[in-house]
Amino acid sequence: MDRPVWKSIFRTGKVDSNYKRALLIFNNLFLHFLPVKVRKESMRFSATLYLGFIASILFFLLVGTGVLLMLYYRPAIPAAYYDMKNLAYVVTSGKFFRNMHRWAAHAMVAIVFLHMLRVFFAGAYKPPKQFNWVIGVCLFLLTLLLSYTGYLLPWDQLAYWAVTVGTNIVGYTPVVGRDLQYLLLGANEISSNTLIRFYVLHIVILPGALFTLLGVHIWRIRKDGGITPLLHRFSREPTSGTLPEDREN
Amino acid sequence: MRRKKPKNEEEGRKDRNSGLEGNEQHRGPLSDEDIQNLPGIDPSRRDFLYRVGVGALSITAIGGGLITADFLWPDVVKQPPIRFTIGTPADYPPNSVTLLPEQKVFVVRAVEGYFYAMSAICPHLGCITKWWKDLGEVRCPCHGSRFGVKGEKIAGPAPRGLYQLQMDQGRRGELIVDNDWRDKDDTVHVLKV
Repeated sequence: MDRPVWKSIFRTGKVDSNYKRALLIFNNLFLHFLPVKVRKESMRFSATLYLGFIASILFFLLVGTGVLLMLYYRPAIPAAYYDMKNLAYVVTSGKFFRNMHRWAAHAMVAIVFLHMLRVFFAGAYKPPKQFNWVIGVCLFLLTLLLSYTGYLLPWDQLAYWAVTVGTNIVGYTPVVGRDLQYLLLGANEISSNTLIRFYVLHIVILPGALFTLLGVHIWRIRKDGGITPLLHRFSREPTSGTLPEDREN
Repeated sequence: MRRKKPKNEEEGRKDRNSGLEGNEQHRGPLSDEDIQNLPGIDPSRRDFLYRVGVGALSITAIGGGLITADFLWPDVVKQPPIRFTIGTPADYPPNSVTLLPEQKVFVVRAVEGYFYAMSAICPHLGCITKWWKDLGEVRCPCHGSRFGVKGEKIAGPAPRGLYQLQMDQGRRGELIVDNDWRDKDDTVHVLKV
């Protein structure tokens, strides 16, 4: 750990004190937005059920499997459907990765929703975390939109009619409904324009937005006073999320 | 580089004056008072140019946004023609309901021999409906809306009956359907041949 190459990368050197442990977090691009210190009880499974953590792991799993699927998928008619069949029956482990992508997507919707419930019942939406709750709601909506846009990509009967129904619901929006529907479809009905639009939304725009907001979401947990445990010792305290020493100061 | 904070007003003024004299350069931003004292510079001109600059950039940004938004709405779309021919009357026996899947249209020939056409797209959420000959009604597979043979709503979540279409006959006797259904009312447009 004290070798020059190691120190040139990690700077901190041998981690033998709380100060060095803090430096380890500060000096790492991927960790520095996490809190340097957390309460032990916040890290217990019963405090948060690890739902946010699981949701973010699922997101990165979806990015990984999604990138693999992109190597064999062409967003065109009728190639999209045949590429799905190709993935299922010809590509080595294609079915495995596609199913992993599919099930992780279903799981992410469920886990994000459960995470939202946990946050609600822990009262973690209360000040000073009200803005992070709003970001969380946006993340939930982005998760649903990702799930929905991914639904069309197999270009099978289920996909086609589900998106027909969904975009017709958009069409019922007062005043701007028809324009919004046209914008989403890229035509008057589902066509190759729709497929490419949903594809671009699914692989670039929505994951980019979700990734950005996820960073802000996790960063703000630290900024807003840390995790609010579901069953915590300070449940009678009026303000959630702040630690006793913070209140004293 | 930030300027050192002057200890008092007089020193500060001296400092500013010394910064503007000779070859020595002024090292910090000019305050409003400095600008007022500068010979030959009209502060309103600077303000004017600032506003022109901000205005021009704002117009450019708004224009760029509008052009980008316009880019997202396609000008030309590929879809089946709105007005199309569907063969001759002989192709449709009396007392028949025929679905044209590509155009998503029902062509009905009544027992008496006259024709009418209606859209097969469910007015609820856009699924393609199906004619059930045994039941004598049109049903939507998505949410169970039911329609009569003339397209009138019987049951289900659909807000109205099937859209009625205009039918014409061409010079050679061919049948023509006008699928511009979004603007049509519930009236059945009968074509007698």
